[in-house]
Amino acid sequence: MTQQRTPGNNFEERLLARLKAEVAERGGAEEASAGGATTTPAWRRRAPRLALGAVVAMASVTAVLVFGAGGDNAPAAFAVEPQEGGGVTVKIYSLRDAPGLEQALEEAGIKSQVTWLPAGMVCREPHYTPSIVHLPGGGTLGGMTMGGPEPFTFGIGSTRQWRERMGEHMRGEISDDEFRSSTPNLNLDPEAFRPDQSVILSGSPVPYDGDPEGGSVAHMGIAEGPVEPCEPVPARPDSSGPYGLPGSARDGADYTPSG
Amino acid sequence: MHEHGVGPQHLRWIGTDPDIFDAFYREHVEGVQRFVVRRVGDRERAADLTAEIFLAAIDSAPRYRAQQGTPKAWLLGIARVVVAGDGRQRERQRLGEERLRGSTLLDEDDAARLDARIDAATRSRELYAAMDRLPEGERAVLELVAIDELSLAEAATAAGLRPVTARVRLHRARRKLRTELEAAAIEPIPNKEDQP
Repeated sequence: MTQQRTPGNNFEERLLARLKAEVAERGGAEEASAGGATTTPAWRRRAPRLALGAVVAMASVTAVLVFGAGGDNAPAAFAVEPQEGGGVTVKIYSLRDAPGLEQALEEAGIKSQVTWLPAGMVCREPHYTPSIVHLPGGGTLGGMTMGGPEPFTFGIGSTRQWRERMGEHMRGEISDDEFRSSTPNLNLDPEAFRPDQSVILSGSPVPYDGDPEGGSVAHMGIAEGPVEPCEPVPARPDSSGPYGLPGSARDGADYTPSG
Repeated sequence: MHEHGVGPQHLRWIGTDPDIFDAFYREHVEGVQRFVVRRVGDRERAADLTAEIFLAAIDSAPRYRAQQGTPKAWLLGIARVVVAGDGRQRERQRLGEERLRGSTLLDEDDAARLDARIDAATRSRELYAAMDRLPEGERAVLELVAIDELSLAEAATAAGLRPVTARVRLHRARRKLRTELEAAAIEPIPNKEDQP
């Protein structure tokens, strides 16, 4: 009943340690199952339902991140910078040089199709089979819509590293500004991708703050198997994305793999 | 405190990411313990239930939806279900099926601290016991408002009700309980929630 007592150790801390071990085991098990490994702790026998819940949650959530079309000061369409602790951060300044960006992503370990389109245009959907990647440490990534006036950054590196950074931010160990300036909007972990999976990125300029092309909107999706070329079509006038930005040509039903 | 809290957008990761769980736990453990001792006067049961509530949150996190309210309201909704199902947990213990027994983590200092908390919550437990004869739907809202001091809106999301339904049930529950408390000579519940 009574445990060894050490300084700074009490019931709450001991309980936290036990619960974190449970969470780590669960995250590790999810990682292992995503990678095809087979060890399943006894308590995870009811896991399929939980895992399905996570997938559905992710598929139905549209995250909004921000980036910008750059402008006169933009020295290049994008930049690839090494990340502290491994991996790279890709900063997109303007929607140009899609083939160059695809090559940079490939060199960092992510296959992709990047298509930058004129304002008001989107890819005709479906042009690929939507898929989901299971992130190491838990969670899934299925797709995102991004829009806004600021530069968009994404990291290519380990999920764990990215989460640790987020943990530091939530515990107040790093400031909001420091977090924002040093942490990519979105992290792509090459370890999470199966060989047949790739990232589909398309985007176009949108009006922002009086400038007809002052901002951008982009759609990021995960594909599995072959990907058709993007065929540009006008965005439906009634399709509106988050914050009133133009949405995709597809609707929710097209997005759902089973739908 | 809230600027570093685990927001709704991070909640689904608490079950699989130890760092995010750490932040979530530290933010809510005190609130959960207070919630429990307002209902349970036994130190070891309180410790067991605290562990059980966080385990249930870990299980439920992937199914969390923003409509279920703030992380705090969501967690207290889970806590209600766990405390109400206390008997089922004891059965699991008897069968040796539980995953983690919180009371095995208590030492003497913790016990004294927890007892002090339990003593401080005596009146809340009297109220809690007096609610026994209320219908479950009315009881849920009254518990969260009168015992846990949630706002009516927070109590509604924690109980999974629309605000207007919660308001109606709160009024009914308060009227019925007042009669009981007066009969038992316990101070009636103040009416502060009538003025939002």
